[in-house]
Amino acid sequence: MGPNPSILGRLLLGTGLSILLMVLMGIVIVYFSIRNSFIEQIDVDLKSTANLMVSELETQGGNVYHEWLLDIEDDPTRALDDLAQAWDVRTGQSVKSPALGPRELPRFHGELNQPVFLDATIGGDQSVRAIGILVNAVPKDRVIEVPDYEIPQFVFVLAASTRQKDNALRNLRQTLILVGLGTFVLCGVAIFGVINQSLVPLKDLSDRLDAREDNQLGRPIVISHNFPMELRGLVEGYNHLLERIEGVRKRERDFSYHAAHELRTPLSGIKMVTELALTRERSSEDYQNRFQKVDTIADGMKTTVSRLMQFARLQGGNEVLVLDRIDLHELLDTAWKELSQKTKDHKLSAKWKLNSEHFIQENDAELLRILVSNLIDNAASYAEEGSAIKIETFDEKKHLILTISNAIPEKLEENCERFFEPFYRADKVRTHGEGHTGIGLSLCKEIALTIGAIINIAPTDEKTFEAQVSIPFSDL
Amino acid sequence: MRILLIEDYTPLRESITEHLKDTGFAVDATPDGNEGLKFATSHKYDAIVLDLMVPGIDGLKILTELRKNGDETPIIITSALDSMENRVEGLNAGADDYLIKPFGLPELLARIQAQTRKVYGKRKATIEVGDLVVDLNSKRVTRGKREIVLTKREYGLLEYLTYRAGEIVSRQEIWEHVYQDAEGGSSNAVDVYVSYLRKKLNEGNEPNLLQTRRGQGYFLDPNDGT
Repeated sequence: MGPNPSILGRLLLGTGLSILLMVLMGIVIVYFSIRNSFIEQIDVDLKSTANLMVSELETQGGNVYHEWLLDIEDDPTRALDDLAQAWDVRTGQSVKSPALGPRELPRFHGELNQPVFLDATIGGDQSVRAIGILVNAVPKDRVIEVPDYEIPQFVFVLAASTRQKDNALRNLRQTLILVGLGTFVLCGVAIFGVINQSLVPLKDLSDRLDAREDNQLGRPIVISHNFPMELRGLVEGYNHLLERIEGVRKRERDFSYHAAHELRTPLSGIKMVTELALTRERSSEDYQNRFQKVDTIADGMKTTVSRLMQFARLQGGNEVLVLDRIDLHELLDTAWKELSQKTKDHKLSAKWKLNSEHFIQENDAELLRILVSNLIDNAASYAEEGSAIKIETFDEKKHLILTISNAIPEKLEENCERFFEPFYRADKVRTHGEGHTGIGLSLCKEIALTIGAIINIAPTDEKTFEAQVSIPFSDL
Repeated sequence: MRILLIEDYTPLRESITEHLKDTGFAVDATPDGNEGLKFATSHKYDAIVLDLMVPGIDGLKILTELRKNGDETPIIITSALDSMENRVEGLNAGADDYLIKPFGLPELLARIQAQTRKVYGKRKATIEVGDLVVDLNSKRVTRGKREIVLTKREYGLLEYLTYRAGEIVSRQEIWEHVYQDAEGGSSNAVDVYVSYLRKKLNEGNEPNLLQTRRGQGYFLDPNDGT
């Protein structure tokens, strides 16, 4: 099969070969059945005639009489047709029917009185079927006692021309070949039609997919009730794939929209603050305040862009780890203290339960710092006001487990995996004004992957949301 | 003209508010969707400027809710989402306009003015009441060949009365559409500013354009109230 195997070609080739084989087998079986039947009929005739004729090989007073020959010679029809010959086993002398003329029949035989058959050619061109039999001449005068060894033995061969049978078989062969070829061609055409018809839905499916516009790519394929069941699985699988592709496309689209939003909104801010500053003459202090605003906005944009770049680097696997000894507990404490203003504003407290004995890690300090800071900041930003944030470490199966959990005001209905998507936010607000860029958790996931850790976020109950990071022990 | 601005990004909210106030609008601004919806349902605004992604109830839900309750206040969506689907979704939900960030203050102002003109059935950017001409773009006011210089408040008052020329406008309506809530005072302030405005509009023997209907309010009348 070539590089582009064709179903139609395979089916045609397969079924064609099968049909050819069946037709050939049919021809062979029919031909040989008929041929054997012909031969059997000839053999039966030869055997009965030969039995009659050998009974006419007689001895009388020690002399042999070939009465069969006399019968032939007396009958003009037999004189022309009968092909018989007898050999005296002792002397090798033979007598033969007149129809043989100068030709000789093959001398052959089996056990005494056991006839054997042979296909032969006599005179170089005449095909015959012959029977050969070893017989004792029949003593005609049974009064005279002749010892067994004195009874002459003869090989008697009787042949029948097979010309008629051969002609009939030749005709039969031609007929069978023609019928076989006709059957093969007819079956081939019928099968080609059936296969072609069966492949129409596949071609139709392919045409429908080809005809799709760019904006219709994600739409599922709708099939009619008479769509072949063998292709339904293919369509269902394709629809499932389309659904997944559409999901990925949507996430990519959302990422672009949200990235654009995160940059456009502060850009709008800069544009408006500067436009407003230029609407009229202002005091230098007023200008200074407005420049300060622009500077703050630009700082925010810088943070967003640098986080985006870091995210891209981590995703592309371009971040090189700089390993160092890090005290994770100290890192957690620092991250919490850095959020003092926010925790004060939201009246949040911390509940510490640091039980890991492997808190000294050999890891990338900066990446681990971003991971820990983002998780604590996230917890502080979304925690219910006045609640406590629980920060816990413990060891489990050669891993340091860090969990940060916070109380949430209402049950989360969202698929938490989506929180790892860049700029994804459950409340759809893109700008909190608390330094959130919307890619904190996405960064955490990429960092976790980079340092060989596993991160999971999920509500533990209706009122608690938990982030868990499992970091393998580092060999120090 | 009173505008409601719902925008959570502080620099934008502050700048738009300041600019609209500078150009004579009364502005209520909030960063929160829930508060925005509360404002929109409890006050009569001439236009609402609505960001789609705000905390609390999002912009699209606010829009749908207002339209569902029969509120026909012109709503201008401001959003960084610039795809056709986003714009179609916003406009189909009942928005009158869709402005993509980043946009300029003059453009926002022009769109707000276009929407408010539509509300009061004025297609042109200049409104004439007798020989009084108010240019809504340049904020220039002339009567005959005389240019009238007005303060921001006086212009806001005149613009609102001009939009509703020929109609009696109550003190309460003027208060609601021209004055800031936070400014304090009472509807007596309206009388004071009407008096200032009348003095500037009518000079010498010119017919009195700004009429008072006792117990009902004021109206601009090109026919000297006759």
